[in-house]
Amino acid sequence: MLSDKDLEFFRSVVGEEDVTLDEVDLYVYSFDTTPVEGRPHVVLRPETTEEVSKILKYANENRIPVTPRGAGSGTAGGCVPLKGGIVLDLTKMDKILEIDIPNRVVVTQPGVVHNRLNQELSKYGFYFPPNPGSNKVCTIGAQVAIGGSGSRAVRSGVTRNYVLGLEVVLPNGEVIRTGGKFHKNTIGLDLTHLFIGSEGTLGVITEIILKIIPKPEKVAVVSAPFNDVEDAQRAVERIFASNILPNAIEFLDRDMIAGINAFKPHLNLPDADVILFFEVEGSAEEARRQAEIVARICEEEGAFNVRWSDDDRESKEIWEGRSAAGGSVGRLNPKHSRVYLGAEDVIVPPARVGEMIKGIREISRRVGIEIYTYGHFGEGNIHPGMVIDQSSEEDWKKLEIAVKEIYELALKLGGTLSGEHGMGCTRNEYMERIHGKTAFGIMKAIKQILDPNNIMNPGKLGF
Amino acid sequence: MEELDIHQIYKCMRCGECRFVCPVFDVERWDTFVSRGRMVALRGVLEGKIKPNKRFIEALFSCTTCKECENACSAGVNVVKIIEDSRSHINRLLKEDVEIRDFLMIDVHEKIADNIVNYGNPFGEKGARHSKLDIPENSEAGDVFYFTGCMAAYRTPEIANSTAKLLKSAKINFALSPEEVCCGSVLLRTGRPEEAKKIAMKNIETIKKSGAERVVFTCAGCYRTFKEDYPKLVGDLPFELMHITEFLQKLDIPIKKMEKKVTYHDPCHLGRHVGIYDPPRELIKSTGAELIEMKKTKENSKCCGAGGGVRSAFQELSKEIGKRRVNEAIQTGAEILISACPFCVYHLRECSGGALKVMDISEFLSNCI
Repeated sequence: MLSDKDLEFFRSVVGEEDVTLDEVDLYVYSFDTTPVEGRPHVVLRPETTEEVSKILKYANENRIPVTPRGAGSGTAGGCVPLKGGIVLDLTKMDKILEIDIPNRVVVTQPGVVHNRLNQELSKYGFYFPPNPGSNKVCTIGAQVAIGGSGSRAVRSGVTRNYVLGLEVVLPNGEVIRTGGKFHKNTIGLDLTHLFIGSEGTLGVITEIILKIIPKPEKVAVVSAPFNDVEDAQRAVERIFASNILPNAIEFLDRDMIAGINAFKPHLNLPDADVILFFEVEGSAEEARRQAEIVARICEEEGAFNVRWSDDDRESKEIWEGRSAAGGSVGRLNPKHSRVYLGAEDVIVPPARVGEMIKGIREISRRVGIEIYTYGHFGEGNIHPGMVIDQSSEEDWKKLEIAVKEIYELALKLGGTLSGEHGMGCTRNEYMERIHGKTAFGIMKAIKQILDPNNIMNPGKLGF
Repeated sequence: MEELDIHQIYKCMRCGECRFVCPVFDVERWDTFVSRGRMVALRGVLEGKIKPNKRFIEALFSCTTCKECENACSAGVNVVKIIEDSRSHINRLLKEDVEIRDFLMIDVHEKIADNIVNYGNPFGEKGARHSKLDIPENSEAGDVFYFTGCMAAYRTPEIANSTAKLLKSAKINFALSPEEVCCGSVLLRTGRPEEAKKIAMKNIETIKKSGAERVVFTCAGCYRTFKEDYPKLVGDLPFELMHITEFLQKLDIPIKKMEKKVTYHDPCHLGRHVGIYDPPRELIKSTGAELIEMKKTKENSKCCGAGGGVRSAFQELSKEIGKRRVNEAIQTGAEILISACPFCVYHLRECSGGALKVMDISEFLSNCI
């Protein structure tokens, strides 16, 4: 696909050391966390907006596909170059350009790692709340492009609530700026929010202006094991009815609890149907008050061995149970490992989360596949961790069945297929169904206007 | 690579958590040069989708085996084992295929291996093992066997001399044998387990001949190799193993107080690999020195960049990693950077370019007697 002239141009833009054609490099850049594979023809590492602009202009003129990539930690195939071409590795665009405390904003390049951003902001007593589980790895640019969030979404909202402005390189190489340092605006159609969630299909985000907020004085946590998930559901509803808005309400399902105990026995998590983990914040007095109320309500609704603390060290110890979920699902059997094929990020209306959890258990049992479930109880965003023997064809077939069934269940309960991981390409076939023909048609029309040659991340979002 | 456990490689979810901690990725910034990328590449080779090439070899052999990624990996991938086993397999492959051998073999590792086999040390030094040391010819029999290791024997004799001084001050009757040879760590890290096994057997016989029931090590790498690798190579060992810091903690050594500001670098092979963090710190504090910790310390300590065969094969990369660690030490305001491994000390001393004094803990303590 690429001629010597193409490669000469790319080298002239980014420099020899930021171009690779090596077969092994290209193979490594063919994947994210999913089994989806797409081999690029070249990987480029730009460092500036100008370099990105030149690359896109050239790619557009020569019909070369371009796939932007952050840390490659996506779980939906979003940065896999399905049609080959260029992978734009944005790792080196990792500068925090400005921390502007009087305006309560930070301006970053897309390759800044989330965790590093918050480490810098904490020096000023501020932070950027949306905290994906992959915050030590994921980049701000990808987090914005996907529109992700994390455990704090219950109270603090999602990434798009904090994006005040963007610099975007369009597929034809033009650079536009949207929004600014102002914290609200109503000045026509909101282009900032158009690019959030576009997953690299409309252009490359090269600068992000984020709103930041002061860190809370105190955070307190509560852990509450329940013998029935419906008791937990009721407890959560009562907590909200008590004028308490927790920062986070997380959960571990019973198989996940057993799994964590096998992997980290020192945690000794109680044998429960579900364990909820709450985070509340405020002044020292307020955090304590809220934690006490949350603990009391949980106990009244049947929770046992409820623990709470506003001490930093003890809070960390309590939360360790929740933190142990995620990647650890693959540790329990030496021949089994977690596979992200889909259905790892379903979301249902909060009042139906109990039903969804029970439904996933039933699918696991009936299909015969290990599923370890955890996630964000407060928003109804559930992460079923599916584990198989990857050398078994039968296991792969079961995985595909389980994925489809979980999707169908989520839709049946009034939910949808991704709360925070994005659609990538693994959920392409559902795009029209979940949006409807007309709405999806509008999306396609916008894509056609901005990217008539379909060079930007082709094959994603059902486009 | 049939003997590699493919299920261990499958465990890698490609989440990229390793990117956050890898000292090599910090410098190289290509995904191929981090554990995730290496696992993808290995899987690709195993599944026949790509062939090993120069880039593959560079990626595979540029891992310092510091183990920071293993600690970070929530999926529990045994990265270090996979890397060492893969290197072993690749070396076998290269020896069998003359055509690609010349193109892909890392010559300096071959040379090091030949030196160890022929001369008992990686440097190719032909003289008697401990001829550079000030330690008088000692009886080979003692309660304790002092295993100097090659770095202290040939490149940092002041460390071995200091250790001997400390042992003598505690009236320890220690054996020192000219029959000692390289522990074999570098052979194992660079994928030469068969040669390492022969070396292990020789060392064990030498120690047994001394009658010692306990072996003390100055070098974290030697200690780790005896403790973790030798049992797998040759079975249970008939003597106790201790790093010098563990041993000295139990002794009564006359220490005069020194008011120094120091910082301490945890060697990967002593810290993350075998879990020894506190004895060196307790010893430092016992001298009255003010110990100022670096930002990344203990389990999160950053690698010096020398290990895993990287210093010999990838000098610029190794130096860059080392310089970053030295900078971290300088930022503490400490006068001295102390470590507990001659290889870390040697490398960090070189990377410091004189900007900071770098000492082994045995040197520091012997100055306090």
